[in-house]
Amino acid sequence: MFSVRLIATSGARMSSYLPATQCSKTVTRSLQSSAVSNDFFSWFKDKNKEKTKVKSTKEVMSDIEAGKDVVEKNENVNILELKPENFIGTYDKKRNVIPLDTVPFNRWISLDKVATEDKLNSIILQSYNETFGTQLKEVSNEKLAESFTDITQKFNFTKLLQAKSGFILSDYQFTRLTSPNSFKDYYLSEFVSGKSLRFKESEPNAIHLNESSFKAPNIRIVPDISAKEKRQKFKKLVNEVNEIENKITIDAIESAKQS
Amino acid sequence: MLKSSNIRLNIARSISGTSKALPNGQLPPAYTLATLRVFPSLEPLSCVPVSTSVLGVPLRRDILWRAVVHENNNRRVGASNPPGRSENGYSRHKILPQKGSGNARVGDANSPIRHKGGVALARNAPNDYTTDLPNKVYHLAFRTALSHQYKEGNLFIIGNMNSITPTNETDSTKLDIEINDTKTKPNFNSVIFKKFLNEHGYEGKRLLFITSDTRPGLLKYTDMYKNKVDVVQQEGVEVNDLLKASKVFIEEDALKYLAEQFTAFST
Repeated sequence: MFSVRLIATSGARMSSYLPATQCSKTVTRSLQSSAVSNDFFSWFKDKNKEKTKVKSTKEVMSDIEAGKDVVEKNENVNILELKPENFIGTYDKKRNVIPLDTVPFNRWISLDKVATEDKLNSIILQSYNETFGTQLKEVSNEKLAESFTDITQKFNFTKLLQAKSGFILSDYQFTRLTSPNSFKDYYLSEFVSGKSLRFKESEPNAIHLNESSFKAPNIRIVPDISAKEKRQKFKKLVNEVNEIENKITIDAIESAKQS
Repeated sequence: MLKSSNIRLNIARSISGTSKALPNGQLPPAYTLATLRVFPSLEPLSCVPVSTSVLGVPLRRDILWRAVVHENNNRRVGASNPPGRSENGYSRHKILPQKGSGNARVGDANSPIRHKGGVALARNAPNDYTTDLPNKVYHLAFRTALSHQYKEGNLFIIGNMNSITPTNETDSTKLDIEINDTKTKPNFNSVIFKKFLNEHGYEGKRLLFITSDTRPGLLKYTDMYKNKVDVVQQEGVEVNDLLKASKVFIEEDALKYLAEQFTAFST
């Protein structure tokens, strides 16, 4: 048990909130009426010596009126401020959060994901030219249909393709695909078509239908709108209605005031 | 692998009496390519060939099922002690006379057919629920699970063997995060795993990290995500772990170890 009492700005007793290291410090007691007496003979003492000179109320009043600081300041007293840092058990999340944008990270892959065939064609050409040091300008070039003869070149081409397109290629496809054109076909069917972005692990065999799935005029596909989009649209509509209602109410009050 | 396949093919031909293979017949591939990456950016450094007996095993759901059931059976503690009719606590007194009451014949209140009666097939701890599985089958199941994750594109191998490109200073070739206990702020090491999840879109996904040695940094900084993130040392990996994970990150040395351990019976 700690016999130390600390004075907080509000005068509350803080000893129970403090860590042991802080409590064990020798602190001048300002609220305690008697000193700790460990010695038996310390009970017998001259009471006249302990009497301190107490200011009369009139003196104190006059001091206050004169603007003097009435509270005696003792430099040895450690006043504990009631800041959140001084409390144990409280954790201020906002204070300790490091923004993720500031964290150093080797971002080797593009954040912009390829979405069109033209863009993919240009990426394939760039990757091929950078890997082999060529100046090919058309995707229809026959060289793009040739199989890779060197695994290192295949690796470099694939790395560039992944970095520029924004999609990571699986090792299985990296092994299976042989030529730049086969990579292109795979990217078209899996990534540019939006298949991989629609994929959900909870529904791996989900069938995604859209209007282009059926050519017959008597078949209509209701577009699939996500729950998030629905919520956002509903929230927006409710806000608009609230704004209009508020405006009507304000107008009505103002017209009533004027009439 | 290639040699043994050839030998087997030749034996098969000699038995069947055909000297030549079918005109379009081809030997199955002997190896598959695996990209070596760095952690946490997952940037590819190089690629290595891995035997198809490790990462190219065809999916056999029945084998996986047997391995999972085997593991789950062996995991059971068997600590239940359901009371039988002799331990249930009611009196052995016959509730009704044998005849004359107009009701059905009854014995005592401990009978298993009565409400609050004893359990019919009572047993006492420790109850052993373990089942056997041939090592050959379990090994095949392990390689099947690994191959399945590989084929689905969920297996990431961390290492720098035969590195073609240099490693970035923020990356590591081990599955580890350096522990930074100094009070200098900001301490980026504490949020690097969060950044990793954020960058690759792995938030909320079940991740498995297979390491070759103890990785205290990775354990410390993934502690906040321990419900979804498993860090397992190579000796403790199970088929269940591999199948439950959305993404598997394995160190190169750990893959070598597992390949050696689980290809003992492969032909």
